Amino acid sequence: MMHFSEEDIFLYCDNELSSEQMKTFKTHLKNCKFCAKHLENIKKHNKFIMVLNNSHMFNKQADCLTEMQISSYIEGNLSINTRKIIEEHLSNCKFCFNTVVGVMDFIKEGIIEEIPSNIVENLSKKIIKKLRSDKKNVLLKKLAFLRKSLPGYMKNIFEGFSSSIENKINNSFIYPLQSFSPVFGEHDIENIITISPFGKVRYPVIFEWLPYEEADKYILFLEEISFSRITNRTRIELSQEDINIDCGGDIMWNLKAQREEEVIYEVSGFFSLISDESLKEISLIEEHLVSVKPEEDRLILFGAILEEMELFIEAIHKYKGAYTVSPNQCIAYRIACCYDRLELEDLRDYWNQQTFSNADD
Amino acid sequence: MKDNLTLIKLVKEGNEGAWCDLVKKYSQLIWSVTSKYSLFNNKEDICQDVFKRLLDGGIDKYDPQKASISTYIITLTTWICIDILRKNKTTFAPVPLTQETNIENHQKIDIMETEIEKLSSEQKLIIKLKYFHKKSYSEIAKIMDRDYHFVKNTLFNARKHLKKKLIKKFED
Repeated sequence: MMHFSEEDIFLYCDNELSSEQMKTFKTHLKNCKFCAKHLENIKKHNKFIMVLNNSHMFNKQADCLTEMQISSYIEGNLSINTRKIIEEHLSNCKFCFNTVVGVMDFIKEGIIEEIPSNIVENLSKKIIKKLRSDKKNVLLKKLAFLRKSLPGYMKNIFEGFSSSIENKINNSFIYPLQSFSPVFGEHDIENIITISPFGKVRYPVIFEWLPYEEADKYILFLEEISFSRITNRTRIELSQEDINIDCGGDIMWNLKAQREEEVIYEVSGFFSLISDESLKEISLIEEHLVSVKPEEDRLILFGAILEEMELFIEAIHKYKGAYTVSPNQCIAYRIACCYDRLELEDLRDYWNQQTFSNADD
Repeated sequence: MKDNLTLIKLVKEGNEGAWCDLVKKYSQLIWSVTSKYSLFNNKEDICQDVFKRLLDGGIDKYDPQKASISTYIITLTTWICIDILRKNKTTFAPVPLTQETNIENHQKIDIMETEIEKLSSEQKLIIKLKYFHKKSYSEIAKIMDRDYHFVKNTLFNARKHLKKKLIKKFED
């Protein structure tokens, strides 16, 4: 009588025979004591192995695989050598082994359960809070490092306003953010004629505005020094050679938008130059800020320092630079604060709106 | 929502909007994994723990070239769940002990344990997947990224070897 091979008996125990082969095997077993006995022995051996599953708890090893290693193994994205090393670990570590099996089972089963929306919302809030808190801590560390790196006399001056800068950072990188009560309601930035300078500035003094419809030229006039310039551009940069102004006093500027000789729009403002002393302080701080990386952090810190020294327009430029790198509600808030100090409510309201929008809009 | 690579790039940069998108996209997956391990009282905490680990460096370690973000997050969640079960001293995939208590059977079990540990890592893995997790040959082939015949032959050779050792030890 022909008997089944040991391999076939194993396949039968493992349910790996085809249905045709299973039928044949079962029929044969009824009539063959030899194969029936062989099957009994194999089942006994199998039991001895299965019992071993209880023989030790799955302890985490010090050299357990990382999540990345396990994920790569599961997706088959490893070289043969790396796979061997990982399988060596898996064969000895029940913890990692069960993780692999658990992940594969989950992916295979594909059972997805609905998560309540309030839990998703809470998770998002907690993450934003943590991101801002981490960012705040990073910035405060860099500020402290900057303070230490400054020369002796400058350290003392910086000490005088560093706690105020820390407050700005603390009040900006939080969740939820404070906000301003809007004065003019919703704004479209294109309708705001943005003009600078306002408040304290340093050379070069930058006059900048959005183009006014139908204007073919603009005339800038500084009354105190009888300076005027005509341009068809929307930016004028004036160095100390162009306008030599005493620092401290307010200088009034006037800008007219004209179509031919007709004045179609006119606006005025004030600026003042910072003292030579403040200029030196800023230059020194700027030198030491060069080492701050990444660029976004350098811009935020420089913006906060300039804001503290009341160079609001320049601070806004720095903050906007950081915002371009990484649109962030916290930076938008600082920009709104600067415009608030300059009493430019429409621009303040615009940036205040950005503190509520998605950071990636 | 952004495509995955862009999303991951922005998440790694700390973009808040991208992180919120990540939460919306994958929190359900994490929720479902916790149900699989019957950790019904810990689901929200585990969700928080997963995202906290991602925030605390987990996302920096993630390499999109090596695995999909969903596999990575499922792995992280599974790990956390198994760790909770381990700390609660819950046995995993328990198998009923045999009724036989005689010394000879205990000896055979000990011999089996020693000899299994001496097998190659591939043989050991396949044995464990087959006996402890009751996986089919196809399932084992998928997990280990090998073909069916490799699994079949390796398993057969491992069993043959174990049987030979068991018989030899008892003859000795």
